[in-house]
Amino acid sequence: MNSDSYFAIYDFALMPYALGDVLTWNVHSAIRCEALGRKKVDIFICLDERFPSNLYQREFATAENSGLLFNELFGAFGTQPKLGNLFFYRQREEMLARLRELAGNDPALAAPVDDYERTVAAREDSDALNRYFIRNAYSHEAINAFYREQGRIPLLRPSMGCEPDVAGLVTRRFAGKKIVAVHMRLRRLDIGYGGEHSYSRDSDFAEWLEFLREAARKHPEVQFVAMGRRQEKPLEMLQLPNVTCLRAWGLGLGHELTLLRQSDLFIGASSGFAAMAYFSPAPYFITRMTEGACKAYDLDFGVKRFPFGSERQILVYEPETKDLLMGLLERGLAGTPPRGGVSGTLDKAIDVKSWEWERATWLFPSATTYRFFDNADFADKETAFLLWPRIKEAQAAWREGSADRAWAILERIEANFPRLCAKFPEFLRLRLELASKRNDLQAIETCQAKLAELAARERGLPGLARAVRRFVARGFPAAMRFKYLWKRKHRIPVKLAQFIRQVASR
Amino acid sequence: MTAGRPYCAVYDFELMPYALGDVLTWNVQTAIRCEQLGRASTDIFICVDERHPASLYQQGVITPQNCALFMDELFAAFGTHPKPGSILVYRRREELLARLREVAQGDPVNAEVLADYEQVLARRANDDAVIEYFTRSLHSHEQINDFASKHGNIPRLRSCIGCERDVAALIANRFSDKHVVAIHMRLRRLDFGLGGEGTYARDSVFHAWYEFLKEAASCHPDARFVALGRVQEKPLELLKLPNVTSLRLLGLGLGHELSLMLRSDLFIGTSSGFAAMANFSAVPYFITNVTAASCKAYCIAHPAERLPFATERQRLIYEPETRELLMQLLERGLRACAPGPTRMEAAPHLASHRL
Repeated sequence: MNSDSYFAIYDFALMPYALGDVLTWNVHSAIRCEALGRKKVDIFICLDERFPSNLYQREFATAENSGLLFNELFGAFGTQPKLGNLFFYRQREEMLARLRELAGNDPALAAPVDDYERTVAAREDSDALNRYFIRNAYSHEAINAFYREQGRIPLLRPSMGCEPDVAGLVTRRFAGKKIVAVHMRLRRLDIGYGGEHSYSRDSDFAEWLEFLREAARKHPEVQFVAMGRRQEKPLEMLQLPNVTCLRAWGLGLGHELTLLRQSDLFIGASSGFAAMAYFSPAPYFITRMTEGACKAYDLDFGVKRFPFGSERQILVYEPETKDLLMGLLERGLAGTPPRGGVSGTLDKAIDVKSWEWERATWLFPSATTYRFFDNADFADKETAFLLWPRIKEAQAAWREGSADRAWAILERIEANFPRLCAKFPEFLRLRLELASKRNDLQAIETCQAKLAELAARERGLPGLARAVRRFVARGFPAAMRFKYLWKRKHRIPVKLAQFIRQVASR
Repeated sequence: MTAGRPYCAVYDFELMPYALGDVLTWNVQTAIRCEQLGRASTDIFICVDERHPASLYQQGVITPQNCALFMDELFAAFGTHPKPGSILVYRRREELLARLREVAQGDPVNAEVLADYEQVLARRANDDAVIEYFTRSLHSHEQINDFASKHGNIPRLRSCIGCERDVAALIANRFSDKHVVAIHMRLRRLDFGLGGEGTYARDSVFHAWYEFLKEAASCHPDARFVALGRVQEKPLELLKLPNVTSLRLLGLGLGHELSLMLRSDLFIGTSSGFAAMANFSAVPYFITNVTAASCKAYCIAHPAERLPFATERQRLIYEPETRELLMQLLERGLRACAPGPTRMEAAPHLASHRL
């Protein structure tokens, strides 16, 4: 470790498995890092199965599930404003030994280690544990003080590695939309995840659902993104057309935190995700503010903003109702233009040969996925892509004179994917040829009608332009293959030599 | 004096790939070294340095902007290590090296690890040196097979840290009257963005799998198939089948999938990442799409029916995947199971009940 590092300790025997606490702790430790004139924070996490739970989660966190609870929070540690290395210890004495060693060489860092050791030694003393937690995560006192002194605080950053995926989502899938991140806290739905004592902080599901339904009619330009574990999301809400859950597309907490930071607005209960909002530049309304929350935030009850909050970052104390939520939405988005970007509508036509190009247009540079769709049109396009080798097999069989085999392949495909086959031109053309050979009048008629229907959709200049674009795009896979080989051109002599050796040894 | 110290193993993503199968194989390789050297646990040193984000095999796909996400997606795989110690993630290589040098002082075992690592770093501009290091320390099963022939067994991968209870509950409740068959249909060509364009030839035959699963729903209603892997690799049509579940859509992750494999009645899947979990576990399996290149990596003759450390119910399959073949494998695999699935009681302290 360099002398430009500050080290911050998160021991799950002392601190909770809780998103808001990890995020607040990130800001506390970044402030201490700055105060000591250090450049980055090395995070020391202690997850010792012999001491799996803290004072607040003893009934819930156990040796068996503590690793998972930590894993679920991993993306949150990645938002640390001054992230350095991440050390994950499973034996506390090993972490302590290392910390003592470091503090020995760097007296400026001795105080946090002493504080930690003292608290560990007093772990049966709930007052000592409470004080440690309040000082290091819960209370905003030090954050507010830092703000008063500096006029700013270190803000949370996008979670490590998640920015390109989120950029793709924002500029492509949600192009033309206003993005509103929402967190309807419903911990009572997520039993198994603890927090029974905090059910009173939950949101009002019926009011939220009515609000989201009405927003779909009144504000179709708004795309809501529901934050949090799928286990906390009512299935009814996930079925709403204007609500998306990133987890359904294979994305995770890190992506959600990154997206929240880039949203046009966040509306959510005073809970974990709210901490990401208030330590970010995103405009927000944090609802369900209580006296307890104000105490933690070191604010007078009823105050509308954090000391470090901007004009568009507001705390809300009134109960959540459909009308209140709608009012907040309209106020929060007033004057916000829809997102720019390449407009995100899927070309409904199936053109299997240009699909690799088409999907590549959805992939943002350095993103790990483009697949932000789950509708029938998308399913048909990707299924056609996967079935294309089978169609080619049928075409080859037909060319070789095995009409029956070709027909059998097509029959099997149609039996499984009838909706797709009705709009898959290569399938229909081959089936038409085979049906003509078999003199199957009904099949001929059906194929002709469907092909005529597909052709009708492509009439006119826009249709012609699309057809030309797709035709050109058919060269995309070959271009990609060439690019792949070109990058590895320096390996060609080695590969050639290996090949010659192999041939010679035979 | 040094015997109580952990063995240090380095996974530097500039030298080794972001790939599930490779991390799992590396876990076993390093557990073997740990055992041979008489150490009780392995401290895992991970280097994910944005200045050197990708290995020879993944340049262009993995960049400074996304390397941390790739690492995050694999993190749970490190949690299956047979002899886990601490996991230390370094974002600056020089800091990892400095720490390793400290640890190696007066500890010949870890001094050797350091020397080996420093040597390959010094030669990392030379592709052949990197390939040799990768093959020796990870890819080749030579050391694993030697260990098995000497000891009659190998260190097996364990359930991912923390996931055991959720998986136990899933099996005891949702799948209580079913045979659980974990499947991995490799379809990397669908998961565009994750790279691997050079390996599309190893992909599964979608139509064969789809027909097989559809038929299995009527022939074997007692079988529940759990499709492993990223949601992005799963065809939407496949996920609609009533007898197929994806744990990711239930809010669970890679760690759960790896843990569930260990409790499955059978695994059927392509020779790819999840197959490594099966290889290094006791779960009965059929690994399909095994090729001459796979055999070379496994250090076995082509076409050997089993890995040297495999049980009678762990088989390698070389024939092309067809509906009929997959159905035969399923029936053969289930015949050997107990007549009725026997499941443990629901476990307390779950992180999720909504399974």
